[in-house]
Amino acid sequence: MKNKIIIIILIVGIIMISKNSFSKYISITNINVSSKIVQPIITIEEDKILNITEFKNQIYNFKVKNYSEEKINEIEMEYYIEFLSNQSQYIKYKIYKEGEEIKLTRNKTEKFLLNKNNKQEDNYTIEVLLKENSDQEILENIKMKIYYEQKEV
Amino acid sequence: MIKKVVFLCIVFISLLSILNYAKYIEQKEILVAKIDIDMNIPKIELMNIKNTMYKETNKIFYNVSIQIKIRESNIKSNNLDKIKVKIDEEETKNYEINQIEKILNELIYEIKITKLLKNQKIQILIPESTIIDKANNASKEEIINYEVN
Repeated sequence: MKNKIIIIILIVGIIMISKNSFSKYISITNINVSSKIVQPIITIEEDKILNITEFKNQIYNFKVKNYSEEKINEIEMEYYIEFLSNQSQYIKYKIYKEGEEIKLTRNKTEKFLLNKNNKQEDNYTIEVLLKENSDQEILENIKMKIYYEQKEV
Repeated sequence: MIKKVVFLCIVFISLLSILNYAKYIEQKEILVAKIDIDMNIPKIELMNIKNTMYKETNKIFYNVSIQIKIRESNIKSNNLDKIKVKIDEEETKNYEINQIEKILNELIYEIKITKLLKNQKIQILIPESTIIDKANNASKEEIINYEVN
């Protein structure tokens, strides 16, 4: 009985290892044939940096696309946006996706899906809201980061 | 027997973890806005003027110390070396200018002129744009007049 169990485990093990080495072989072949390597395509179209010198609310637009010229992304991706600058009493910002405000949690948006094979374009607007302070001075930058990763299957 | 099973399990788990590892992850940083708001114009003010009398070779001379205050917390350019000092309407280079104090957004400078005679007239011209802040606000022209007595 014990021997049978050991033999079964060994057979399963050999199958697993053989699968592993088989998939490794395929991946090497793919690297050689460059046209078959699947790479994510994400394009970010940005507006010009806002140079704010007076207490006036401003708008910044950008797009996240899953294509570049004629190439379309072939991997499902997910992305989210994080603001690296904190909001304060005098500087606030809001972010809109296709005109709808997105809730920020700890300066981060939720994750959004970027499809594969069909063209997708997500349009964003950031509204920078400024409030006058008694010092009449604000010297700061507003930065954000877009993180994107392959969606887990 | 148990040892063998555990060993085989560890081998399988490590193999599986290697298989799941590869994944595309990237990030991009974007500068959205540069906020450079400074509505305050740099100010240059006269604080006080002191003169000290002394004797030298039976003649009376005066040393004059003029303190000026600069109010600005975001100085981009300080051109105090371009001030002009006139004694009886003649420009002179016979003076010293030194920063003597810095408190928060205030800088205090002392202009020292030596070996002056009684009733001589001093004029200090601090041209426009002597101090420029980060929002490119420039200080206005200031003229300080003083007669030694």
